[in-house]
Amino acid sequence: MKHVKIYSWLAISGILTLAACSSTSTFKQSAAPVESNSSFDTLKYGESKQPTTFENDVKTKITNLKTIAVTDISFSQEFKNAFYFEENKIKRSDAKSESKSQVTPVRPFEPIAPATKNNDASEKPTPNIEQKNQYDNKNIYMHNVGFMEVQATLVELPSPTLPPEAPANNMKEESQQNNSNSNKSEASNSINIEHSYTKKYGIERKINYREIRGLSGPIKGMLLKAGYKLVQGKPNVARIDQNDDYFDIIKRIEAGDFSGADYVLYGVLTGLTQKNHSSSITGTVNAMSINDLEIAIDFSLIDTKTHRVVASFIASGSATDNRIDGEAEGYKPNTTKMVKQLSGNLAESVAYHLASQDFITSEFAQVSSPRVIPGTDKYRYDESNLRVYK
Amino acid sequence: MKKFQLSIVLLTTLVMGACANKNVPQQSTQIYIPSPTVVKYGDSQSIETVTADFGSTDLQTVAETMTRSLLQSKVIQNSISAPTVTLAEVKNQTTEPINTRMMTEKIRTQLMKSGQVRFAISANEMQSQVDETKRQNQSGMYRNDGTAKPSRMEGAKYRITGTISTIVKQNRDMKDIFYNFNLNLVNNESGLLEWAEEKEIRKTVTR
Repeated sequence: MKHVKIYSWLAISGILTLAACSSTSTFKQSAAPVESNSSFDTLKYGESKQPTTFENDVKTKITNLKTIAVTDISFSQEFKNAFYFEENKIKRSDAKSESKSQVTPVRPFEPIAPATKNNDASEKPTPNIEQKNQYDNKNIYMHNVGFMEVQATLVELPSPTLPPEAPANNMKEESQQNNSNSNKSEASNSINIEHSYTKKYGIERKINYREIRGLSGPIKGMLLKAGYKLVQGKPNVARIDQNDDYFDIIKRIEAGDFSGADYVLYGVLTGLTQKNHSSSITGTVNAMSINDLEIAIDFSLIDTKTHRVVASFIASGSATDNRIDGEAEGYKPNTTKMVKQLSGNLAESVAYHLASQDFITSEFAQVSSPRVIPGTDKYRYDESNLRVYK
Repeated sequence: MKKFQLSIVLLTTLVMGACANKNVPQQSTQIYIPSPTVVKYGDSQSIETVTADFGSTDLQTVAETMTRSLLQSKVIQNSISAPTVTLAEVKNQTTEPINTRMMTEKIRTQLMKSGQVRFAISANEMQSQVDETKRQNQSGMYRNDGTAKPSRMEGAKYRITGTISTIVKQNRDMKDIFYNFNLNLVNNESGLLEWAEEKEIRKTVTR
């Protein structure tokens, strides 16, 4: 019986203790927002002091993270070079041997001597025979091809000593040798000599396809800050027989160059300008050496699943490295500093355009607000500014 | 005869003596004693009418009028932040040597005090700016992170230009001088004349 009483007391006391504990916890919760009734000013925390839900936001962001790949900047560069090819052939019919030589023939007319200038299709090319092996026939567009064949029959030529194959720049000498052959034509057997002369010249157009590397780092950094995951794409290496399909980004996406990426930010170089000049500073005896570098890139943001262009814009970046009296001091611009400045500037421009097309939130596109000057009414009425009451 | 000769000798001696006596006091008066001068501090705002030439009162009147008018202009009143202004040339088209720079600088000071305008340095002050920038960046004596970099100056949105001209008429008894001071605020980008004000002053001198 005693045990029953003890157990019952223990049970009651346990229940009471538990009830007391539960009531104190509820009391704490309810007591927290209670304001004091004292006559002193109460300290209140506004909304900005409330516990933030940042962690929850981050969690939701992380679950919705998209993956993006940023390509290097693709570009094509066109070269135009002049070429010139000249060949003489002398064929002897009776000597049972055929010899070739690069001898300047006795020409029925003077060949045109083209001007020495590259990258201008309107002008005639430079007479540079050594260039002939550098060109791929596929890429050669002949604007003007000259061909001339001369056949001559010399009677009673005394077994002419044909000149050995000579270098092309020995033209004057070869010409003289040929003339001497003609002079020795007395007291000799009849020999039929076929003499052919070929001249080719024109403008060669060549297109290089490449990528500018080292400019996309700040763009990637900006996208990481904006909450995207990044995927490194494969580099776009040009083939030997490369053509404009170098810019076919869809083909690269389908080939798996950006596997795992939801979006690809693809950039193609639109323009690149470098200026170096010196300008006097008005009101001073000094001059400023101005070195500018500007770039414009056409960006397309492509959804890798639907191949839709989600955002498209031309972003630009610029860099300067100016120096007072730099020209007089022989100052060379610091290209490393300029490229760093250029890439940072380009990333800002990309962020601005992506924000303006609602791809990223505007907080990552650092839009600077107009500065309010102390002393003005705007500054005075802005409550966030420090005030001094006298 | 002897008496006559003696009298001539005596007369000559007396004349020479008199001359000699005259020289002595002259040497003693070479010590210059300046006439007593009085130095006073006057009221800088008081009206000055010493001559009819352009004076301090004219300068103060012009500066006050121009400042008040410029601060009440729509350009200044409607701008979101304090616009940047620079002082350009004020041409002196009078025959008097007037220091126009002093006038514009007085106007600049008064505008600066208002806090509604920011001033960029003018072309006349560029040499010191360039020298300082060059010293900080190209002497090799300063840390890179703390130096004032070139090509970071802020360009002025507006410039203040103006003219001062006179019409002078006079006869035997009277001289009339009419001053006309004209000041303009030009938008550097658009080239538009955003504000203009003139101040006329007439001064007459009669015998």
